[in-house]
Amino acid sequence: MDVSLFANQTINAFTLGGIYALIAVGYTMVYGIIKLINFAHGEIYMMGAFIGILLIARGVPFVGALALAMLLCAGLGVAIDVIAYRPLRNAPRLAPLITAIGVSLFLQNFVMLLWGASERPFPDLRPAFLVRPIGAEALARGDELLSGIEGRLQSSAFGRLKHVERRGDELYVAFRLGTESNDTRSLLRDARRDALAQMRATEPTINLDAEEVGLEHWLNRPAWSIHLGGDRAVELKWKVVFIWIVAIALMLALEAVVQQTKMGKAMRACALDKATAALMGIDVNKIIAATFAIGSALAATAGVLFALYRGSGIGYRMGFQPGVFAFSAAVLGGIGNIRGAMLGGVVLGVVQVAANAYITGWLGVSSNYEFAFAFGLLILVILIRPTGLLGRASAERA
Amino acid sequence: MNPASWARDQWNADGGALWRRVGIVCLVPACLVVALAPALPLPPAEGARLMDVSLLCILYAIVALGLNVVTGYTGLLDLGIVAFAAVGAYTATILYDRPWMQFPGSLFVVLLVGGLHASVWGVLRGAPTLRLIGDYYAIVTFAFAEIARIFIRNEAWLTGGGNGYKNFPVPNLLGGHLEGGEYTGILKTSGYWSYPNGTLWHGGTWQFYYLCLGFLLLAVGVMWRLERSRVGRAWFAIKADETSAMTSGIHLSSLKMHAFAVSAFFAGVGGALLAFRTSTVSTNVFDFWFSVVVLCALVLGGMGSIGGAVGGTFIVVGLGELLREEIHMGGIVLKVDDRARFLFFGVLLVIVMVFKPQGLFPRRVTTKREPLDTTDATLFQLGDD
Repeated sequence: MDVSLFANQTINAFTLGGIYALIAVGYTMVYGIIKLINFAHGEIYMMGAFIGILLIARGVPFVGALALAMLLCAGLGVAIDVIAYRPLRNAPRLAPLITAIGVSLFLQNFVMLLWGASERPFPDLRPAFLVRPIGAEALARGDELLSGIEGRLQSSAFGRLKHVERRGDELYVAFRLGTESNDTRSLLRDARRDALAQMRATEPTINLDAEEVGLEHWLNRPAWSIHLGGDRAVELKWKVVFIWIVAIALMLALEAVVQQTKMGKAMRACALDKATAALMGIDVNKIIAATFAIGSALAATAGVLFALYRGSGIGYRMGFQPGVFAFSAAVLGGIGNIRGAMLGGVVLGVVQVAANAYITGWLGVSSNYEFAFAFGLLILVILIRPTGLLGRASAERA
Repeated sequence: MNPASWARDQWNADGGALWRRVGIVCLVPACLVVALAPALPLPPAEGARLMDVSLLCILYAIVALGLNVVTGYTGLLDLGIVAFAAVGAYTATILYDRPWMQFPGSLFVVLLVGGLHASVWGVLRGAPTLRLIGDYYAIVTFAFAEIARIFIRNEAWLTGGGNGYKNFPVPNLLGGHLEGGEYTGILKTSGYWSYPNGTLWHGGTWQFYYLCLGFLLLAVGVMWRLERSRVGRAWFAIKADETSAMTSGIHLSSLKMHAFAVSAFFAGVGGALLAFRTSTVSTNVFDFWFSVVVLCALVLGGMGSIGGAVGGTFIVVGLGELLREEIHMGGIVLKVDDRARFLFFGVLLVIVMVFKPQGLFPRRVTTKREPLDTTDATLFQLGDD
């Protein structure tokens, strides 16, 4: 067995699994409370990815773009609930399912009309740069240098000075280039050249050092890599580590919210029995809206992270397959069960990657069957243990 | 109060009398158009287009009637009806392509075999899922349909794979081939109900049209008898309450199996006819959205009602096609951007469901022998578990 392939596929599996888990949580929470398969959830994931990449392409820092995508998608989720689901709370159970499909169609085609039908790549991340002129002369001429850089930055869309600091005889300037142009480094080069030219006019021996700093700088770097000879290598990129950290942190935060806070308690109460919860003074509609907001924010995160991970293929149809898989993950883990959805997501990610890399090969069938294995597993779990891996045995809907 | 709920209440303030009047006014001309589509005095292009859209609606309606058995009568949400339509379509066309299948009337044989093959898969899929209810059943149906689609796409030696199965013989009705015409015109635009470019087009012949209309009427007749039979009443009883049905002496598993078989059979025949209409079978047509369109049609029309299944299909499929058209109104040209059709479609689904959650043509209790009006909202209210 090829060790490097195995290691790389393991990394791949857990990354995909984390992303599925983030989406699955939204499905399972909504289903737990209003018993609705929210078909539009995959579309929220897609919207999250789109908002993320569009903001990043405009030069917004990655973390800012992620936060904005989460916020906007949370709002979108609540809006969908209010417009398409809330009027149907007492309608036949299939009616909101149809509006969910309607919303899904609407969002897909809305995105297609607005941003085109072609798939987009993930935009270049624009790292912040740290400029470090060396020597006392540079310190003396620091202001001149700054104005030179600022002038450059003002000509680009979102560029700005992030940080100026004098340390001893060194001047540290961190700035972020933001521009429509793809070639950020050439802009930096120009800024440096200008600054150097200014300084060299009086003191030609000054060195100006620039290095990339900040999250964007790290995301594309390998965190850890090992070469096994030939072209076989195992590489763990920082962005993968970042995805894992964000996914785990959000899951922990969600657990804390659901288990520890008053709102979480209200959510659990609504999931058990909405009528009684309302009698206890819980505003059920508000709790449902909060559920949609949280689930949508997590789906948006998954969208941005997936876009970062894949680096391509961001199109208006990208929500369907992960949406379906995430719902499968929710069922796999025991629908309505948040920890189950997380586990189910990881399991599905592992099964999909394992099927692609190994199982289809062993069986001698096309690797296009990778999805069939995930669905097959889903059917098996439902037949053998309808309550899911972590579902309670007494679940009402067996 | 939620503005959508308020608007709905205003609209329904007269107890739905307005809806009924609108329905009756629209029904008669719609039936006439469908019955006489090939004979209407229209310019050739418009006439062909009308007939083709009508034919498409007829064929989807047959599939919707099949779906209605499991989802409408027995109350099990089926998200994978496309699997049976595809099995029927591929079976019928692959068989029809065999040299030993070239005899007068063989079209009916392959349609029957296609339907029966779908039926077998309906039973095979249904058997292990008997104890599942609600959305778990829905997920199994969905997963099964996806597996079927992946199988069809990858086993190119049998099914033609991603390119679809093509070039099978022209449908042959008791001797004498139907005339196929080279298809040119507006239908070539791509979309969810897409058409192959430049292939022979058999949907355009009036013989095929009336054959399909005949099948639809036959299906409606069978359903009409079925839903009033002992089996049909048992299905409604299962939908109302499985436990009560069981204690009333209804054999749950055997009757559910009946429903699975009947449902898959109708979907299979409908799918096969759809394949013969365009002379091609492809997973581009038989994909998840096929199930969605049929389910939307059924729910929009009214579950558990024959009129709902047929009427809903004509509205959903017909409207989906209408949105492709340019409408000229006294110098003003109304044209929905081809790519935006489904955006409007999505909005429409939401609006209709918010206003009429029971469907446009809901089932009404017609005989006293039925256990219960099962479209009653209270049965499916949230929190009934």
